[in-house]
Amino acid sequence: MSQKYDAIIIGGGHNGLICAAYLAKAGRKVLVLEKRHVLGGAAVSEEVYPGFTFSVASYVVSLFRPHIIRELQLADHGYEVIPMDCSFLPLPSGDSLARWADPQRSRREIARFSKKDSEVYPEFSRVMTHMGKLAKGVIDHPAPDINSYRPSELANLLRLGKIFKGLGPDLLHLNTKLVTMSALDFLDQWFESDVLKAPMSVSGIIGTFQGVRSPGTAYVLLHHYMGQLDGAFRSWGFSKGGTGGISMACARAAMSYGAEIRTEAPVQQVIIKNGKATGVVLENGDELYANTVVSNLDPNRTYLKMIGAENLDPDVLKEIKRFKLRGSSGKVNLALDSVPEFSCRPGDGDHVRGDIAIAPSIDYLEKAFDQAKYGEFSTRPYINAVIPTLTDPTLAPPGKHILSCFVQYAPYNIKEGAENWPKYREAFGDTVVDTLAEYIPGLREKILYRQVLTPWDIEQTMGLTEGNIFHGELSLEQLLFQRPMADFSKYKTSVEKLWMCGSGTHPGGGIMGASGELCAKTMLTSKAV
Amino acid sequence: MSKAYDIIVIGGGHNGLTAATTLAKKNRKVLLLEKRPMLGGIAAGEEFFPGYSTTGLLHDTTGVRRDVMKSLNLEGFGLKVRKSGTSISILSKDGKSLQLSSDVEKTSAAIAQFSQRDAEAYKEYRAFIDSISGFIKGLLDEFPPDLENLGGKQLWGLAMKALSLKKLGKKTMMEFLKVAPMSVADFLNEKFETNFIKAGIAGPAIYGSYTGPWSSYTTLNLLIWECTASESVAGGPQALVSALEKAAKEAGVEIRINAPVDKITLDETRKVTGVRLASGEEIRASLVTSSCTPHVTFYELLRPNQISYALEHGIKHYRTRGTTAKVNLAINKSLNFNGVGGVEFARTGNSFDEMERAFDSVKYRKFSDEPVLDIHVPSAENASLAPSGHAVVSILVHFAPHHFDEGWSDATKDRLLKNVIKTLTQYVPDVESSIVGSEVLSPLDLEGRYGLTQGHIFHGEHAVDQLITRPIPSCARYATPIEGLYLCGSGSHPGGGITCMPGYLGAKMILKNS
Repeated sequence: MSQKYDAIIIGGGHNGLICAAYLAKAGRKVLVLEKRHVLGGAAVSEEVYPGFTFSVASYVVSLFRPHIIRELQLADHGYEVIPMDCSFLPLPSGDSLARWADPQRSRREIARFSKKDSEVYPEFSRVMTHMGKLAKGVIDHPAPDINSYRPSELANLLRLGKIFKGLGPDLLHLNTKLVTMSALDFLDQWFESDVLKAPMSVSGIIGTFQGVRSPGTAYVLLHHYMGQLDGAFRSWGFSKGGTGGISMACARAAMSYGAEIRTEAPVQQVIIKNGKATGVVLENGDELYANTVVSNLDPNRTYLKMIGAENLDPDVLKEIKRFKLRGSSGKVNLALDSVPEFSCRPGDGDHVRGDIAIAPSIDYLEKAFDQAKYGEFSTRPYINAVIPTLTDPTLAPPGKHILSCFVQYAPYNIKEGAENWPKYREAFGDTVVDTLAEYIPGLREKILYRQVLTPWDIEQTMGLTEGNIFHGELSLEQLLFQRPMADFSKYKTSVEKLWMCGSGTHPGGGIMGASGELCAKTMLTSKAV
Repeated sequence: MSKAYDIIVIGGGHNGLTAATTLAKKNRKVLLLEKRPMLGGIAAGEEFFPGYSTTGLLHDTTGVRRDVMKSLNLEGFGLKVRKSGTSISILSKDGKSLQLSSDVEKTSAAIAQFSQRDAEAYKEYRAFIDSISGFIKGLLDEFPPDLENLGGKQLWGLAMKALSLKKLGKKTMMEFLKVAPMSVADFLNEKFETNFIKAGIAGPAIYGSYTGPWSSYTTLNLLIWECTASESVAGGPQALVSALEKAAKEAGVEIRINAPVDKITLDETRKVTGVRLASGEEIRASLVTSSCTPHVTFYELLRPNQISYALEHGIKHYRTRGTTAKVNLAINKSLNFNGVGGVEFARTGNSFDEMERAFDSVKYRKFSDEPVLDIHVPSAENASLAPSGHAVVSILVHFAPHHFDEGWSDATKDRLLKNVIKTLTQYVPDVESSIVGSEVLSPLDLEGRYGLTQGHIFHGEHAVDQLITRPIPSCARYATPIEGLYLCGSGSHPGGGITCMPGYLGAKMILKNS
């Protein structure tokens, strides 16, 4: 045993790296252990095919907390996000809808489908932005503890109470609706056109095992509306150098504060002595010791692998087994010989420089979901695609392009069993290409290389249990003081000196960085490290 | 000019009758107006085929509140609560059946024939229901909190509600908060292993809703149903209506049937002055309470220029998508369900996936190929509802959409009937050859006959945002923004089903305010 750390962080995803940076900045001796050869976890850039840098998993950024950028000086370490200007919806009819950052431009497009909707659209954005600001009061603080009478907890509850009281009855009711309604029912209160509602409602289902008509999905709609990029609400962007660019900026910041980072250092288990975490054992048998251990892994892996079921209290074991992580999406990354062109709106103009949704109607989306419910991947899935090379040409050789596709639904638990996913991997990839080719003639001929990640693959390579991109479903019973479970929702675990800093803790998934930040700050203020 | 009445109650269903009687017992001069030739609304028994009668559109009387029965002395007017315990048969496709009753030990023993684990789980499940039922009833059977005017008193009331949740004890409270938002499939899968038992227990979570068993928050609906269910009423809804009618007359309520209301009349300050009947007759009263659906009350009984934009907007977005059809069958023999005779209540469903598939159809504006059936055989309790030796089977069919792409017609209703019979045949093999008459009511028919907006049997969906602040925040405490106009139907707190609670609380609010 050569040296002892104040904290060892298991997993070098963006949250682990942010947690490390905050701890190191506070003068703690920190070691980050990443099992793969690259840092970033699901926020990773990799040259999978020569000359092409894929954002293998997560591909756009929106929810990253701006104060983290400031506090860790991430911009100095290479953090750069290029805002996306457009959400594009090609339609099978040959028509299309582009929604722009400029509301007037969006209104003109929407008016072609519904004049009424075009008039309501700005008001909707205003209300959602208002609600998003409210949500900020929730995601930028640790979850309230409703069981504690401690002054700090009561103050936290009071702070939330004040925010909600300040809303007034109408917005309060709106808030209830947002938390409990389906994304579509919520949008139905505002809009009439399917062409507008379909692409808007999908924000409510990304990464969930729900359909746009499932109650509770309106909340996820808000989750995606909270996107705050340099102060401008509802703007999504590309990270320069791919999504891994964000993780690398976090890693460089952590290192600048003195954190040590090791890749290809898979952890076997956490060492627990007398109920306290004292370090970790690597898969190669090495033992490393620390005063505290922090897991960036999802709750399932943290409790069942890192701690081990045999070391858990039966009640805790029961609770962690209830935690739902049903993955519902896959990823298909294409290296293309030339820019893909949509027959409904040709060219490589601004309309294809943002995100592109294959979500032509509500029924289309619901049928895609229905198949997943019964254990099949959608034969015509919802696809959210981006062509990052139009914005950041450094990602591919000159003239070549990347089409990065998020695909839903691909249920982890297919009828034949998840372990049979590899048999269906290419069929799944074909489905995605076939679906896209209906809108992009000649797509197949442009493909130089195809990377297909099923939920099974996402689990195998990134360690996300059941391929769930959010480290656990974002349903109400798994949020706030119940994420990941009621007794251990404040970054603590059932093992003393073992903490959690991943998306399986409040406030949840997406590239926010909030879990890593709030975990580190909670550890520091409670003098745990 | 002296006023003829203190209060006019529109609609003579179980809630209208309850409201009228509650008011009359406090010496108010009350007139009750019913448009149909009989009282009862969806609780009225009707002859649907010569010699064969039902006991009401809805079947379930386990939710009728004891407080209301006592307050109106309904037992003194002939109402009898069944003592033996009503049992519900849960049916599986491979011929099994299970009797669910309020007797936990007996039910658990019956479940043990299929699974010892489920038998134990059922006891735990019932114990959990018992531990939260006081809290749930406290939420449902009192005035909803006044969120419109959050002053010190209201906040104190809210804090007390929050405290009543904490009083459950940490473990029960956290468990309730954990499971209430879950889908009923996730909730019951955690507890039970036998598919048809899970599906049977889950039934009430999805009846009348726009959700399948895999939808979030359906557990809350199941918990609400379980916590408010007790023994049913002898003679079903019709018997309840008879007792209510006697109680109303005894209390001095003046009842007029065949008296459809055309409009609620307002003065120039938009205060209620009474009603005008379809016949043109005007009746004066400074208070009117409506047991009709919120849509009917505000859109049909008032003129468009009489309600504010905010009110119109709010009611417009109150969701009432009807998903239930009704099929009544006249049968020339007594029936066995999965070989069991004398069955009075039965549920089909078989598995969550089958129930979910039944729901999937309405999303695409179609009815289910294999619907989920909520079955009542009223003739098993009361043989006089059918000729001697014959039977009446009354079925609530889930799911059938109000907005049906093909359009409701005799031909499409016939197809729905065929789907119902095909489904029923799996449990009652000889049913088809025993049918001598039938009636099919689509959601459109339910709307036409009973005034149910979009045919919704609960006057609006039991979605979380439509509880507590039902139908909308500005009307959630029975009073409406129109001075003198109150609500007292299932579109108000605590919602639909035969409970009599909206009528009772609605009347109490009038008494409190005047």
